[in-house]
Amino acid sequence: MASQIVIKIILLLAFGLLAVLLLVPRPNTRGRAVRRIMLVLLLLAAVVFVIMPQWLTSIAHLVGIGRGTDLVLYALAVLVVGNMVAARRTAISQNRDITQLARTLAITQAPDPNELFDPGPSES
Amino acid sequence: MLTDAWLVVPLFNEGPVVGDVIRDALGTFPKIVCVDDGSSDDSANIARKAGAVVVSHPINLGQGAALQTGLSYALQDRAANYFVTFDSDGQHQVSDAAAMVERLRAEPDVDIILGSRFLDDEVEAGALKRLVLKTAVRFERFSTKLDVTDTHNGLRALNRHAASTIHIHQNRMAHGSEFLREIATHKLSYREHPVHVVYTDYSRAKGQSLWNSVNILFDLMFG
Repeated sequence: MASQIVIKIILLLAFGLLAVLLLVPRPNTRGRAVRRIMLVLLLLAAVVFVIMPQWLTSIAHLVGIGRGTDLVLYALAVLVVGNMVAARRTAISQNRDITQLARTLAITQAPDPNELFDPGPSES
Repeated sequence: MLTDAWLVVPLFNEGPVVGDVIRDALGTFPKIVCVDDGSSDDSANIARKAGAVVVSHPINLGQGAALQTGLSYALQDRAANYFVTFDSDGQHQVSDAAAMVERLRAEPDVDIILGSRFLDDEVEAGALKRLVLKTAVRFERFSTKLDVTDTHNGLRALNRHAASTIHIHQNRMAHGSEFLREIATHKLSYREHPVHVVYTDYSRAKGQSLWNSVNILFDLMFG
């Protein structure tokens, strides 16, 4: 249906943006601030649409969808994928920290290689 | 005896073979560090009794992380000039490793020597494995612009400059590719050296499945 072209473009752009986010380097301070602002706006929107569900339907009509419910479903899909991307990034950065921690621990507990072999081999 | 070289051996559940591998190598490399990556068997004790220094990860982190830990540990030794990464399952030859160190010594302008299975004919791999390895080589040659013939060989010899410049972040299996990327990024000078890899029944049974190629690709793209 040609009338749904608007929402299709919006959704494809959203998923494309998430794919880009997956590949570019980790977010800086601005990225974190933007994410928090988005979260607040999302909450505000949720409150507004609970009180005024007919507004949601109007917006849905604007982008070529029949029902507000469908718009919520689409938004949910974008949010779920976005959340997966964010979770993955967090996991990667945490893994790096854990690795560094474990490596430092392992090396600290091992005998100093300079003392092991210097005055003739001494068993630890 | 190569007293200015360290053999860096990642170790994960290789109890049945690691003792022989260490004893075999000690004659040439008196300094061996085994990085036990949270083995659930007795590998660490066996390696220690065989005469290696054992550095133990408190949790399993992956082979790439173990290599980096071993290099970081060996770099602390002020008398060490050369660092060789070596597999614990007995597929590498000590003579190949020693030859690579001697070559680094003879050619001071070379930072890293990469073992290659494909420079001579002594390859004992199945047709499918060969195809996957060759495809990986083509991919790496394209993405790093390095002129290499074997990209996933665990046998490498590094001088101090290379060992302290390269840092492996890929904890799991993608570190083979990361080594090459680090070489390309830091413009290290490298050579390949023909090595003979022995695929025993033991190493074949433990060998990487082809599924791992998919994992490696994803780690490199999204990791």
